[in-house]
Amino acid sequence: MKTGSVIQWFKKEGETVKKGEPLVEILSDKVTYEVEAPASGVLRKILAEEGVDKSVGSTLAFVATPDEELPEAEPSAKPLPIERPDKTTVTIETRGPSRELTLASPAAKRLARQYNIDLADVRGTGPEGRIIAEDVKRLIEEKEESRPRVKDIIPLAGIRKTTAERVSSSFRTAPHSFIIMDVDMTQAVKLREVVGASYTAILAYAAAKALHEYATVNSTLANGGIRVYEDINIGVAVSTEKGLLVPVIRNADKKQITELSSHLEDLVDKARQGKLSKDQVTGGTFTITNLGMYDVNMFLPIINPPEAAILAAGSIIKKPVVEKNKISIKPKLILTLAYDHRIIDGGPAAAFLRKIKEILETIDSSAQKNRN
Amino acid sequence: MREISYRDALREALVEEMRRDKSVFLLGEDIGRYWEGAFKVTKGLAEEFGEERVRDTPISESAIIGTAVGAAITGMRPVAEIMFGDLTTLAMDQIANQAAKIRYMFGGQAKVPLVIRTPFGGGVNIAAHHSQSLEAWFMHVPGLLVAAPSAPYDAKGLLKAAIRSDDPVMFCEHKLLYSVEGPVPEEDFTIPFGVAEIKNEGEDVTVVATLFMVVKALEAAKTLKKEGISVEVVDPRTLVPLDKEAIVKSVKKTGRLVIVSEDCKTAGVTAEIAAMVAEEAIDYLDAPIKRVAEPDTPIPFSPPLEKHVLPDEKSIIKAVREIA
Repeated sequence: MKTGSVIQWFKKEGETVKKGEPLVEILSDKVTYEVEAPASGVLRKILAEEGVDKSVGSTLAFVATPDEELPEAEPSAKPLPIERPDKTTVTIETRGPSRELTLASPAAKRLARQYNIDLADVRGTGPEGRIIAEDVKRLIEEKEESRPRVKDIIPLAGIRKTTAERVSSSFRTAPHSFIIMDVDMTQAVKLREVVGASYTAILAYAAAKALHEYATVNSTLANGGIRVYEDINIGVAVSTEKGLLVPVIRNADKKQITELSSHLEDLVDKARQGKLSKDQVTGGTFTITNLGMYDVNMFLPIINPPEAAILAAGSIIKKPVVEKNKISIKPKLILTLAYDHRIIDGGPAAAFLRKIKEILETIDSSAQKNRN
Repeated sequence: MREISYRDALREALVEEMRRDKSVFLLGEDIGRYWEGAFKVTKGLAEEFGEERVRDTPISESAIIGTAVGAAITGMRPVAEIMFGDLTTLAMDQIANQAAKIRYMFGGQAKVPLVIRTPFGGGVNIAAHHSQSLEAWFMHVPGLLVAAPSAPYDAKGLLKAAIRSDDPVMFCEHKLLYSVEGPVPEEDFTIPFGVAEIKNEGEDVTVVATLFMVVKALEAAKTLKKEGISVEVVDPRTLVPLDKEAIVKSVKKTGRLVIVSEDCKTAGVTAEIAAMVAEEAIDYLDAPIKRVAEPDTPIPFSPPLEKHVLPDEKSIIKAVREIA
């Protein structure tokens, strides 16, 4: 240690100092320490300004009685003849910079861990400023107060849990793309009146027919290949009190409309009563979801994994339509096809949806007899 | 319920068990018709049960326990009285090496259903030879059960359970408890070993206390209640087995623990309980564990000095205030 500098003076010139009271903070060899006043009196003159290097032995300031005469110039520093490790210096250096220790009770630490609270944010009110459980609880409460109040916690279990897992898996892994198309439902409305089939059944009928033609939509991506299914099994999303269920109409392409409709009605009843068997909710290859009864215009569904696509139907709404430069009123339906872009591209997906549209727009009671 | 003294509760337990079971007999120094025991626990028993079943012995603690161990092995249920707890040291080989070990050394073919009743504790100015609290010595000997009742009810229920136990029991009493009165049912009942009792429910600080210190802790709790500090007083009632669950449960509730025992602080009852709580519930502690115990000195004969070293209501209050 040859030089040092003043970090700060704790007293100003003219202030009274008492012997032993901290007077100045010194930095040397990256170690700081406080120097106490060597005598009582008035800090008359500061010679070492803050931040300026001074050699060891320099006079830093004069402490004297108020009227004592001060030496005019700075007395020359006594040079240290031999530089040897000074005991005090060594002690300070080995101690290193002091580490801030946060005092906290084990209970406070446990609470902080549990609620992910940084103890540095907590003000301790225990002995010696120790953080106690109550201090952490106070902070937790403050945080809780800024959050909305919780009325009830519904456990994520059963159907809710399955649905949550499936939709998030689908949404994360299958890049969803959407195609939206208007369909004139004039023929379908007539058919419904004639044979009494539900719109969902009519949609299932049309989708099954279209899938027969566009087989790649009736597929799944598995083990690095697109597995195109032979069977066309159409699932229908059913909202029940317990949650979303998707009963499956097996070999839908081989059924007449009325057969489809009564079969579907039976499945929906069973779904609402919680009486579906495992066979009736597995093996689907394509899904239809219809929110028409809720006055929905259109919506973007999530593919029912591991299927390749899902068809969403809104409400049938009477709209003015321009045909051959004439405006007429027609029942219109908006269909949305969500498809997994890894499997299907936009062109074939659009062609598939257009096929459904065509079937729906040209459907008539002959669909009863039109069997494959 | 009628209230009787701790002394009478112990006597009632002895009488009931002796009437119930002919193999139960008493032995000890001056427990018979001439002196009826130094603390009068056996008063009137020689008259009812005769000198065969209430036996005065020579002044040899080692002989008393040795005789009792032998009798126990052959099917009797002896209840030996050692006049002062300090004098159990004279019988330590018989207690620690024989009574506690025989069942194990003989692979369970022999058992030692023996009860050793003895009063511990100071506060009556009878100096260093007659005032010690040595409960912790026996906690350290596997094979022994250690009872330490603080109330007449516990004294009766635990003594009856001790007599019926097939393992040797050190039944620790306290000189200043003999005259303490409390409710005790007249009918037959036992208290299982290893079940603590909450003597006073509280929210802020748990005070685990044993023997006479339970009385002091309850007084302290009353005073502290006026200051707004709610103290839960837990009495383990038996030190072996120790009801860890009850102590930990209370600590989890309050987050603060004071342990009070009249024995020496070093390696004592308070040390064992403090270590157990540190092992099993440190994350629930919101303050350092405080121990109130005798400060590792022989008990002084001088009354002011004795008062100074023995834990009392004041030292308990001080310890509670420090962490409450």
